[in-house]
Amino acid sequence: MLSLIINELKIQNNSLKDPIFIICVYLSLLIVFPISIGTNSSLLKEFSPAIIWVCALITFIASIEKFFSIEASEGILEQLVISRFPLYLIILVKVFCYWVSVGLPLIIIFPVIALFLEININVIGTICLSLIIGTISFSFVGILGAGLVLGAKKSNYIVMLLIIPLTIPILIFGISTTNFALNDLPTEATIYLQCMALSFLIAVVPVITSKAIKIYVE
Amino acid sequence: MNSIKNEVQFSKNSLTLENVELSKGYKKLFSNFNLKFKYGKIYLVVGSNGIGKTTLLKCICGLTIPDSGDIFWNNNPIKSNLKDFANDVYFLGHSNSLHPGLSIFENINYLSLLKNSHTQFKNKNDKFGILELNDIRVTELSNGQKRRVALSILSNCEKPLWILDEPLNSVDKNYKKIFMNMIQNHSKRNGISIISSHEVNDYSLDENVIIIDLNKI
Repeated sequence: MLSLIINELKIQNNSLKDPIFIICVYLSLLIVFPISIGTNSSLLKEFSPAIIWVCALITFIASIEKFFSIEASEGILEQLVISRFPLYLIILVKVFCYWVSVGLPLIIIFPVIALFLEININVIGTICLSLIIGTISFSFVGILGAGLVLGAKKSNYIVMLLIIPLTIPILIFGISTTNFALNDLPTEATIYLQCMALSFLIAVVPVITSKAIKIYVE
Repeated sequence: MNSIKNEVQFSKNSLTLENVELSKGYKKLFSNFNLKFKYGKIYLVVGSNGIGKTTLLKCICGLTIPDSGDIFWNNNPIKSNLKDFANDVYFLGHSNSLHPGLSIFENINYLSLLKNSHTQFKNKNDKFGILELNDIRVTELSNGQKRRVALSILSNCEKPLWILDEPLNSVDKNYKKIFMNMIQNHSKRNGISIISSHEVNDYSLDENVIIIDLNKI
């Protein structure tokens, strides 16, 4: 199992952007907002929770439609289907490794970003926890989308149409948690809601994605 | 011959297709297709382009589900025992199943992990000369070299059933001979090889080779 995770991490960090590149993409997206709204505007502070989450979402889904493309073209998906591991377990490993490759760098860099956004140090931990749950959920939704568009033409557009509606509840719960944390309100309820969304995705995504891969391989 | 004596014989397996009906998209490829594959034989599936060679091979190894009919591995239907069956089969498709982001040996380890065949390459089992390609990324290899890596993985996996889709694509003459020796050795160990090909001439035909011409079915 550990070997499967190590191999998957090697694969994803070669075929997707490496962690430093991910951080640069996230930072450059964050910079767009102060430039367009104005650095002194109170709007920036008001919108900062939404900015944090929307930038994280864009970073996660930027190249997701290509997630299975190399494995599909090289015939690796066929080997995954007839491997000794259940396909849903391989999907879970892939989601975890995708989160480690893309989500973990964002979480690590977030305290630094929070200082620039003038976020109170006491609430950084809560926002980080909320971001961890939210970004894992983004990984599940992204990989679901990538699986469903396997073999489709114009998959980059279709995957966005599929993913964005599914991420709305995650965004709502995540932005609410961040807002509550910034205003010193209790955040347990929204964090539980985020966990609920994640539990649903853990149960559903591996099954649907493995079915989509099996249909593609046929 | 000594190497054959030292290797473990596979048990006497059989694969049976019973009333298989198979289509690709809206096109019906086979109906009421019956076939029995016996241990120790090499089956060469031939036929014109688009006749369904690849689809048939995918169906045999459980990747494509037939419209109707059953496939039995040692009298057990594979659709209800796919995990056990997958443990006995090695499928080499049109593509080489090598990840371009990994080195050759990382690929070998990855596939061995997926197939539960702990392959360790040493000089004595490097039939296809891949030790000299050590630590080169797959993207830097030619098509022929990639195929040699895929065939090396095959030669070192201990599976009784080999399903190979055009395995000699891009492979040069010397390695074709090595491949023939390899599948003959596999059949002597009671293995079953099912190979699709356009070129029957590539294969040295002996009493163990059975040709299945899909044009005549």
